[in-house]
Amino acid sequence: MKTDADKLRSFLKQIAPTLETYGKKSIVSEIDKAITTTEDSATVLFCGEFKRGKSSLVNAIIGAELCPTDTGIATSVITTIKYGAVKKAVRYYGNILDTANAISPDSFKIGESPVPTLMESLKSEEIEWGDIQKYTMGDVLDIDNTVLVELSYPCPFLKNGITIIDTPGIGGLDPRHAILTHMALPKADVIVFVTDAAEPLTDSEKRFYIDHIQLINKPCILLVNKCDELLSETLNIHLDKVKLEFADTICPQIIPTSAKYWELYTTLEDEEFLHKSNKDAVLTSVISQVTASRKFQYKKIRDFIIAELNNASIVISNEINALNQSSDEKQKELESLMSQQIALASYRKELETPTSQTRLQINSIFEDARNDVANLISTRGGELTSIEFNKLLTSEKGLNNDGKWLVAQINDRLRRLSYDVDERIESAFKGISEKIQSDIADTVGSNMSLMTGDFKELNSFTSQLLFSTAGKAGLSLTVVSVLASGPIGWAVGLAAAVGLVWRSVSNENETRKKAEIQQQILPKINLALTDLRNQTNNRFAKFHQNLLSVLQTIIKDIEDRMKVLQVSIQESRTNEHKNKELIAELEQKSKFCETITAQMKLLYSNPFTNAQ
Amino acid sequence: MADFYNPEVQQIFPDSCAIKSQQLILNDFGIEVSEVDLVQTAAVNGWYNGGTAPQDVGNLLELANIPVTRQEGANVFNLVNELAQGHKVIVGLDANEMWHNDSISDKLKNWYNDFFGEPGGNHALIVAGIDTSDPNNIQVIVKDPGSGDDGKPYPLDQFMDAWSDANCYMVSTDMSAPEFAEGMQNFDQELGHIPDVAGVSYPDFQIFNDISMGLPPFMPMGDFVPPVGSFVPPMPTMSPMTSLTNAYLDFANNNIGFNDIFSDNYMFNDYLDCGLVNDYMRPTCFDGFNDINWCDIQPMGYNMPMDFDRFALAGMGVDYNMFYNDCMSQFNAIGDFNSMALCQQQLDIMSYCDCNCMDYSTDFLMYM
Repeated sequence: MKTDADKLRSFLKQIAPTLETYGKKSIVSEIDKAITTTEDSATVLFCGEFKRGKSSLVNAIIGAELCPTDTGIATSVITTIKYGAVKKAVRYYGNILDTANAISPDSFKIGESPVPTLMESLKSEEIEWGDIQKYTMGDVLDIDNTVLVELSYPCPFLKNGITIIDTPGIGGLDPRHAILTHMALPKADVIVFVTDAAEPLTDSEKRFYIDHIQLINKPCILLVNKCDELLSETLNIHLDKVKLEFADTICPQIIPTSAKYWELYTTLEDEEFLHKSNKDAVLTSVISQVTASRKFQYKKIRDFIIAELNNASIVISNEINALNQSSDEKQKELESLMSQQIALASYRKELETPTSQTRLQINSIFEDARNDVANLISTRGGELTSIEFNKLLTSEKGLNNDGKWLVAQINDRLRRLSYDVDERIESAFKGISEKIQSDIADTVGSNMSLMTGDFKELNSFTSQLLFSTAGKAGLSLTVVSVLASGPIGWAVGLAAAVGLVWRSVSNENETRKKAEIQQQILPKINLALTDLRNQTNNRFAKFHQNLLSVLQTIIKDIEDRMKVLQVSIQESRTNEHKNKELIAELEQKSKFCETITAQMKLLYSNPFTNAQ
Repeated sequence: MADFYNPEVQQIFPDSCAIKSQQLILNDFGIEVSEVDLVQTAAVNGWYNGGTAPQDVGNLLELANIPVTRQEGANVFNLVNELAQGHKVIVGLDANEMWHNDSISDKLKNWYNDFFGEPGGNHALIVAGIDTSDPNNIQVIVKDPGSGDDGKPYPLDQFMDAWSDANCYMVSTDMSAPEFAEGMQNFDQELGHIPDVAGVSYPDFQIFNDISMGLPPFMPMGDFVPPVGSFVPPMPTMSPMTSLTNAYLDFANNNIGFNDIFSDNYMFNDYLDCGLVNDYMRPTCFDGFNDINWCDIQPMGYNMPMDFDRFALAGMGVDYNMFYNDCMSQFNAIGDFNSMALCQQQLDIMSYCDCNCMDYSTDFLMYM
């Protein structure tokens, strides 16, 4: 049959790793110590008014004259008696008030033995066995400031860890006696309150019981001593009276006894004295109350373990919640990364495939722009060589300044045309780059929170596309440079032609002059327009070539991004796996804590005791 | 003959077997209460009146905050399943078939009562365990308040005969007994069950337990042949449950592979209601799948469980055999034997499907 201590240790052993991981490191050893203390020790404190025979009863139980008994007030100190294979006496001495402060009832903790606390604040010395009475009887000077005498004695009754405490009587002339008793009282596991059969429960005794003993809520036995002094009828009347006194309060177990008969039995071994002393009933009651006290202490330890286990469960639960939250975030991050990867893969495929929707749309914008520009050159060029030219030629200034005005006007119009063409081309290129940007934004960027930086880089590719073939007004600058660069350029040729014509026709009439000029200049204008067309086509061709190159760069970049993403996804997956593994482990631990808690709650519970 | 008598187990009153059984269990859980106190409590609550009604067995445990499950028509696999989880089990049975079954006349009397007597159990006791060390002589170990026997073994057939008279009624705790209770010293409270049951891993045992649910309730089998000229029919020599038990033991002793239990050699297959089995086996399948520690392995290159859950797995055309075998070798390499056993459990479910014209993917993985 497992003892209560064994059962608690069994639980403690199982949950030790959990408590040590999720609670205080030292908690397991503290609990273990508390179990051992409860198992190995119990304090039975004898108290009562002076001259009630407390020390005599203690001596009777021990079976030896250890505590002083006298006709006067005998005991002046606290005497503790515990089991020891060898007889030994130690006295503790010092200022009693310091001692009182050191052992307030609240200072008791699990695993802490009460008597050492009392003794820690005192000095101590071992004394001769024969000197016990010297330090336990008399006033404070007689006993040399002794507060407590600790005796070790080979008494079989004490072998199971019981320590008996004999206290000085209360109600005497020396207030020091009451102080010592009050100091020792909270340290008792079981209180034996000794009264006198001849004076059953005086008012002061009842007050002491209610004000002090009952208050500390420990198991209590009321021994009515000196039964030998009364007739049995009188004794019964007195006992009834005592019981009546407790009618309105919690009644302790009341046992009549006689230390005198007990001592006689010990000496003479006469069964009659045994019976009259009521020894068996007293000892049985003391042992029973010690057991009850231990059980109470074990319950406290059990509750303490459950509380600690509960704390550990809360920590585990918080960890699970945190991991779950982190897992959710990681899951979202992973999903985001994976959707980015899918979007990138899809866009890469779009860009790679010439017949894809995106590529067709880009081509369409491109072709529309090329046609638009071609139409512009054709329309505006046609106007310049017909209506516009005639209008300039037939204007008042048409032949001014040796025809230079006319040439300047035509050059001006050609420049404007080239600007317009330039603008259209730029607009088209911009349109294409914007299309790519918009596609990236739509298919990739919108759900790519992490791709902001990458998105900017993709924008820069399209910027390269826009500016790499020609800067703003690039075509017009080209045209201007042709105008200014000598014989190869059409405009210079045009100016020279105008000069030549002017000289050859200077003597002609105006109409003829105009016809001649028209004949000389118009082919030059057409030549310039053709040049413009060629340049435009070149530009589109270069743009297209560049577009393909940029697309390749974007695709390459997307692939790079995908590789980075893949690493992130793997990392994210690994983290997620680790998280889940940890969560599973913690959940199992949490369930284990629940099981053990449920099992522990059953320990010492008993809903059946009051069943009638 | 060993003396199994233990006065602590003996009931005080002639009709307090169920109460004494509960008292012994309460003590196992650390609740020290006397039989007398329990009898009083039961009487006050109307649970004790010339004995305890089957439905009231367990009430005292519940009163002490030990939740219980009551099961009627249970079988030996269900019983073992409870024991395997560290639960304490009380069964109702016919005491005569337990205590008075040695002589031919006792057997005849019991056999006669089975057919013509009043049906129903008259006794409750605790089943402490099942000894399968000799497959040919399986013993049920009982703690019997009626006889005071503590740990006395009874042949499985005899026990089943007695138990079936109470319609195989069983009351089991939902909570495992604590470590200090008798026989619980090596029980892994954190795992929640013993690692294997009579040589079969616990996950595999669960499959057998599920299969047992698809068999008809206990049919007495016997080697007792009625006297010549008797007008009563002889008992069948084999019940479907016994056949499944044989299959189990053959499998446990590596005499056959799991597939083989579905062969014609085992007549339980003739009685198997797969619809019922499926109802029990599906949760086993799902729980088992989810309990596999996927995070530590990459079977066939998949990132489990991110790449697919059981639904995705079902839709991917995976070769499950290859998949789970790959898993098992990976778990074996890292020493995760629990996950390994759970993979084997999935393989067993596949075998069950293959042998019973079902599809593991659609009937189990995707079914919910």
